Amino acid sequence: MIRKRPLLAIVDDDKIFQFTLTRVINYNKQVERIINFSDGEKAIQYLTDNKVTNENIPDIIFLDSNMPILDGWQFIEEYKSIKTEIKKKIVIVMWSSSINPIDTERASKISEISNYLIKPIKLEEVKIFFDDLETLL
Amino acid sequence: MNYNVDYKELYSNFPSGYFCSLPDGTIVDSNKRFLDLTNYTREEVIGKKKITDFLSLGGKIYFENVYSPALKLKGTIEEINFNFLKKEGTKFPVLINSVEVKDKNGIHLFTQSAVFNISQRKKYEHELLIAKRKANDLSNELKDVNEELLSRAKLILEQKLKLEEFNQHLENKNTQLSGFAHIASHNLRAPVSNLVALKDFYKESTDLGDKAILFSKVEVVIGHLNETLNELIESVKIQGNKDITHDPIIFDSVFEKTLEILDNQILDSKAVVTSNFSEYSKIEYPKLYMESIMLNLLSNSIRYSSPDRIAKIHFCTEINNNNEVMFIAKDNGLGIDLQKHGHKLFGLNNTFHRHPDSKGVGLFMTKTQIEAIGGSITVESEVDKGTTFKIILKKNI
Repeated sequence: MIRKRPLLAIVDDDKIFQFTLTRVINYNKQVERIINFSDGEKAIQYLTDNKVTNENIPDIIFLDSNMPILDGWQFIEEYKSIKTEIKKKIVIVMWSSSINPIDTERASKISEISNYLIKPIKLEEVKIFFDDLETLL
Repeated sequence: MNYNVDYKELYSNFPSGYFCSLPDGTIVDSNKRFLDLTNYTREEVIGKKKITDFLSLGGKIYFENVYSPALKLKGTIEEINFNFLKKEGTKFPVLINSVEVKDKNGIHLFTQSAVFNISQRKKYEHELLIAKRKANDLSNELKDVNEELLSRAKLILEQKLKLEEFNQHLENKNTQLSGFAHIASHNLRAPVSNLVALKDFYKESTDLGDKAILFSKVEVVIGHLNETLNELIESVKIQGNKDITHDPIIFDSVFEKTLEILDNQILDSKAVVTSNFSEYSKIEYPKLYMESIMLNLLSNSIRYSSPDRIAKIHFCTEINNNNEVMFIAKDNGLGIDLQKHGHKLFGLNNTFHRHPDSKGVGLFMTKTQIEAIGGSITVESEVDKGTTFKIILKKNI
C-alpha cells in the first residue's frame, strides 16, 4: 500500500534543533511538509484553529519538552482537552535533552506520547521511527 | 445498780499520775501511778520533794516564770509540757494540768496536779517530724530533678530548632541541586547535543557553501553555550560566596541609581515609577546584589507592562509579622499565569512572554542572590492585572 507521506509538526523553541531535524527529515524525504512552532501555545492554537480541516492537522508532532510559554508537558495537558474534537490520529514524539530518568518515567506514563527520544538527533533513531510509522498511524 | 467502787484503789491506779502539793511546792500526797512513772518510793517523795525537784534547769526556769504566775492568776492551768526527771536521772515528757484548792477565805491550801506521760506521743511527733523532714528533702530533690529535666528539655528544644534550621538549609541546597540538574539537563545538554548534530552534518557534507552555513550555526550555539555557562558560573559564585560584605544601604539611593540606569526605558514606556521606603529605609546588604535586584525587577516590570494602560510600578519596604524586612515590587503589567508557569518562574532561561528582550536570566539571578543572603522571594500575579514580588531580605533583624 502506498500511503500519502505524512504531515509533520515540529514544536521546539530551539532554532538549531529545528534546523538539524528538518535537514535530516528532508534529506530522507520522509514527510510531505513540515510546520514549525516555537512554543507549545502556538501549536495548540494552530490545532484548535484547524481542528475541522483534517488536511492541515499533522500526522506527527515532534514535541520539545522544555519550552517557554507552554512547555511539552503542558502542551500534552492542553492537547488532551481538544483531542476528541480532532478527527485524526496524531503520533506525538517527545524530544528532550534530559537524560534524567524522572523525565523518561514521566513520559512513559502519558499515553498520548508514543515515543520519548533524547537529543541529539541520531540518524538511525529517526530512520527506525519512520520505518515503524505505519504501525503507529 | 450499785457498784462497790473502791475510790482509794481507783485513785491509786488512776491511769495518769496525780499529786497534791503545798503552796511552796512540797508534795504532800501522790498516787501510785506518779511514783511508778518517776521510779521513787512513797517515802522518798512525800513531804520531801518539791515539784521543781523533778524538773531540769530549763524546766525550773519555765516553772518559776510562766507556770506559777499563770496558775496563781487563773487558779488553773492545763497542758503544760515539761520533761520530768526519773530517780535514775533519765527524762520523759509529760503534760501537767494543775488546779489550786482554796479555803472559804480564798487562802491557797493545796495544788492538785495530774501528770500525763506523753512519751509515745512525743516519739510519734518526732517520727512525724523526721518523716516531714524526709518529705521536704525528697521534695527538694524532686525540685532539683525537675529543674534539671526542664533545662534538658530546653536543651533538646534548642537542638531541635538547630536541626530544623539545618534541615531548612539542606532543603534549600536540595532545591538548588535539583535546579542545577534541570539546568544541566536542558540549558547545557541542549546546546551540546545541537553541536554534536551539526558536527555530524559538517563531516558528511561535501558542499563548501553548506559547510559554511553549518559552521555559522555552530557559532550561534557556541554563543548560547558560552552565555549559559557564564550565567551558571555567576550563580555558583553567588551561592558559594557566604562571606560577602554587607554594606550599609539606603534604599532611596539605590532606587535613584536604578532609575538613572533605566532612564531611557522608563521614558519610552511612559511608566510611572514610585517608591516608599519610609517604613524601613536602611539595611546592611551586599550593595551589588541590591542594585541587581532592583534593576532586574524594575526592568522586568517595564518590559512586561501592558500596552492597554499606563504602567504603574511601585517599590516599597515593609516589616512583616515575623519582624522580617520585606522588599516589595508591584506593577500593573501583563502578569503571569502562576498555575501554568509558577514552577518555572525562577528557572534559568525560562521566559513566559513572546518579547524580543526575554532572556529569562534576571529572576534566576535575583533568586540566587536573595537566597545566598538567607532571604526568600515569592510572587503573586494575575494575568492582565499585574505582578507583585515579595522579597524577605533578612530574617530576625
